[in-house]
Amino acid sequence: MKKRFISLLMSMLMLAAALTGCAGGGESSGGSENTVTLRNTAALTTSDPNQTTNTHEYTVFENIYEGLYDLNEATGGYDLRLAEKVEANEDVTEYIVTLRKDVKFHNGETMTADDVVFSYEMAQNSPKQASFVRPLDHVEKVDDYTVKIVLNQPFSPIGHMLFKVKILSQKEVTEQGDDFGKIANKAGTGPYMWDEENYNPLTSWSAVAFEDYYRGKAKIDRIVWNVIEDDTSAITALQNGEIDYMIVPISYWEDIKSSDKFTCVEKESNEVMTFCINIESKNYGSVLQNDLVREAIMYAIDRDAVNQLVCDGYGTPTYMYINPNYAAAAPTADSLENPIPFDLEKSKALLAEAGYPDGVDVGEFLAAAGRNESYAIAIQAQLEAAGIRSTLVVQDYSVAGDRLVAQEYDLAMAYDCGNYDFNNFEQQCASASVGIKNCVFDGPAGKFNELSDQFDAWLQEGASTADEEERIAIYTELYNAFYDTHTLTPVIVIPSCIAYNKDLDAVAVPTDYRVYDWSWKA
Amino acid sequence: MHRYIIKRLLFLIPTVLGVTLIIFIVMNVTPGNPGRMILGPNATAAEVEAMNEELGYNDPILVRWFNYLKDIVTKGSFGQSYSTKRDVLEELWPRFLVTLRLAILVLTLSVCIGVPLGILSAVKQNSLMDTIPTMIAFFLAAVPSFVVGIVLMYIFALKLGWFHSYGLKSVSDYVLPVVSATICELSAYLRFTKSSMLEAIRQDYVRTARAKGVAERTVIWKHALKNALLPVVTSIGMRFGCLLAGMVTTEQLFSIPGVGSLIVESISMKDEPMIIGCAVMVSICFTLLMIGVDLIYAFIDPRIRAKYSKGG
Repeated sequence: MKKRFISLLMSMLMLAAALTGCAGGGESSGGSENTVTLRNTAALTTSDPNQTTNTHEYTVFENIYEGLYDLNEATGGYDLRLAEKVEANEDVTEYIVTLRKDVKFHNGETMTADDVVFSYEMAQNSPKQASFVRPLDHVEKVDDYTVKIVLNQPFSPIGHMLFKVKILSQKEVTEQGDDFGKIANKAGTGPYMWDEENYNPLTSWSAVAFEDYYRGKAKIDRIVWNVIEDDTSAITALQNGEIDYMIVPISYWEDIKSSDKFTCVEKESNEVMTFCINIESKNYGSVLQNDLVREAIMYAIDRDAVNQLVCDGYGTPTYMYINPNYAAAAPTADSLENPIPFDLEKSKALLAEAGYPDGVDVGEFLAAAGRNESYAIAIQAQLEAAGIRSTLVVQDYSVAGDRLVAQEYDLAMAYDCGNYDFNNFEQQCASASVGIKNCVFDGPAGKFNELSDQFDAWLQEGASTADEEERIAIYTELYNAFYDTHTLTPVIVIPSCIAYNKDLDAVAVPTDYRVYDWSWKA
Repeated sequence: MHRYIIKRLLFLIPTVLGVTLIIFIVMNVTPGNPGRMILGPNATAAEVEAMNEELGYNDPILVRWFNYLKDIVTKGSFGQSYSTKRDVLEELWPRFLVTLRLAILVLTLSVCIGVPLGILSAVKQNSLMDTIPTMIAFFLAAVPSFVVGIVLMYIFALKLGWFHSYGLKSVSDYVLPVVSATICELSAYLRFTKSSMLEAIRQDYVRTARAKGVAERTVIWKHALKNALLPVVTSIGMRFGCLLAGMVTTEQLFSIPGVGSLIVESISMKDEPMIIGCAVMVSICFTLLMIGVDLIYAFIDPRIRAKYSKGG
C-alpha cells in the first residue's frame, strides 16, 4: 500500500518535472548594457497598428512603425518623419506630401508612394482608425515619392492623422495575408524591428535596432517587453532592476522617490478625468435637464479634495477638457470665463431653488472598474454631501464603455487622452462624431439643439484655418459655451510619475516613449 | 473496466453540451456587445451592428449554440477570439499548459506535505504533533493566497533577490507562485486527511487488528490509511480540477499567462468564443480527472478492482 501511494506521488512529481522542463520561451531581462527591459501592462492582441486602440500596444508600436509625422510628447507638436515636406493648398482641402527617399522597411524594401497610398487605404478600412481618418477622402500617388492627400472638408489640424496612420510595406502585408497582425512582421520603418525569434505576445517579446534605419541605428540595441499585469509585481521588478523604465502607480510613488536608485520625473499627463451628466437620460432626464440642478452638481465638486483622495495630491485640478500643455490650439485655463469653484452651501441653495430642498435622486453613477471607479467614489460622496444622491454602478470597461456610447447612464466618470490638437474635441461636441461621445447635445430632449449647430460651425471654422491664434480664439469661444452647458466637466489631469534606471539616459514622456532617443550612460 | 471508461468518456458529450449551453445563456443575459469589443469605440453603430450580424450574434440563442457545436464537429474549431482574432485553441492551449504545470506542482507539493501531516495529526491526536500542524493549517487557510504571494515576493524577490517577481522564464520562477498557492492548498489536504484518518482508525477492523496484536505501524499504513485515502483521492481530483481554472490570483499576481487569468480577461472583454473554449477545456479536464480518480480507486482498493473486473 505504502509503495503504491509513494509510486503515485512519484509519478505526479515526474509529470510535473517533465512539464516544467518544457517551460521557457521567455526572454531574460536584459543583462546586456545595450538592452532596455520594459514593462507592458497586458499581452499584445495584435502586431498590426491599424487594429488597436490600446495604449499598451501603442507604446510598443511607436518604436516599430512610423507615420508621415511623429508626435513629440517631450517638447510638444509634431515632427516630420517619413515625410520630407507637407504643403497644403489654399483652402486646406488637399496636401501634397513629399516623401523621404532613403526610407527602408524592415524587410529591406524601399518605401514609395504606393506604400503610403496602400497604408492610408488600410487605415480607412479599419473601424479602429475611423476617428483619425474621418476627414480623409483618399490619397493618390503623384510620383514615386510624392502623394496627394485629399480631404472631404477643409482641415488644417492634419498633424494627428499623419502621425496616427502608420506606413506599412505593401509587399510584407500582402505576403503575410491573413496572418498579418497575428505574427511578427517586417512591415514597419521604425528604429526597431520585431525580433521574430522572441515574439510571444502573451508574455514577452523584443525588438532589435534596425541596421538600415534612415536616421542612423539606435544607440540601444534591443528592447525587451515583459507582460507584468500586477502593479506590485511590476514595482518589485523595477526595484530589483528587472525592468529599467516604468510609469509608477501613484500609491507607490513616495517609496520609489525615496529610493536613490532611480531618476524620477513627475509630469502632467495628457489624460483628463471627466465627470459627465446625461441630459438625455431615460429615467432622470427631466431632473438632469434642470439648469439649476446641473449647476448645483458643479458647485458640489471639490477638485482639490479629489486630487488629495485619489492622486495623493500629484494630479492637477482642471476645468480644461484638453490639456493645453500638449494640444495645439487649445484654450488656456485663464481663458475660461465662468469656472465654477467648489461651494457646498451654494450647491445646496441652488438645489433648493430648483425645488429640491431635501435633496434629489439623480439615478446611477456609472464608472468603469479600476481607475475611473476611484474618482467616481470620491465625487459621488461629494454630491451626496450636497444632497445629490446617486447609486454607484461599477462595471467592466467593456460594458461601461458600451453604455457611454449608447448614452445609457445618468451620471458617469470618463477620461479622455491622446488629444494633441484641440480639434479632437469634436469627438465630444460635433453632431456627426461617432464612438464614445459622453453627452449628446442634439438629442430628442432638444435642450441644446441650437448650440449643437453652433458647435459644428465653430469646429468647421477652427479646422478651416491654419492660423494658430485664430484657431485658439474660435476654440476658446466654443469651449466657454460648451463648459457653460454644465454637462461634462473636467476634474483632474491625471499625474504621470515615471521612474527609470539612474544609468539610463531616457526621455520621460507621459505615454509613448521613444527608445530611439535613449542611451545608457557611459 | 474498458466499458466503464468508454461510458465515462461518452459522458463528456452531454457535459460539453451542457457547459456550452449554460455559457451561451449566461453571456446572452449579461450586458456587453461583441461588435463594439472587436471594432473599438470609434466604430459607428452601423459598423457594430454589421459585425454583430456577421458573427451571428443577432441570431436566436439556440441557433448560435447549434452553429457553434456544428463548427466544433465539422471544422474542429472553437472559433476565433474576438480580441486577438487568433484561433481559440491556438491561444488557449499554451496557457492551459502553463496552468497545468502549475496545478500539478501545487497539487504534488500540497499532497506530499498535507497528507503526511494529516496522517500524523490523526495518529498523534491531541499531542503537539497534532496541535501545531492543525493550528498552522487553520492559520494558512485563513490567509488569502494573494497576501501570501505578496509577502513571499517582498521577502524572496525584493529583499533577498533570489527569484524574479513575475513570469515563468526559468524553472526557478515557478518557486514563488507554486509555494504561495501550495501554502493555501495544503491546509485543505491536512484537514481532510486528518478527519478521514480519524474516522478510519476508529473503525472496528482497526480495533480488531490492534486486538490481534498487529504492530501499530502496520495498522496505520496497511489497514487504516488504505481506507482513509479513498475520500482523500476524491478530494485531490476535485481540487485539481478547481486549480485548473482557479489559480487566477496567483496568475495575476505573478503575471503568469494561464487559463484562470485568460478566463477573467475574456469575461471582461466579453470574448465569448474564448470564454466558452476555456470552459469546455476545463470541463473536459475535470471529467477526465474524475475518470482518473476512479481508476486510482481501483488501484488503491482491491474491492473496487474486483467489481470492475467482474463487470468487464
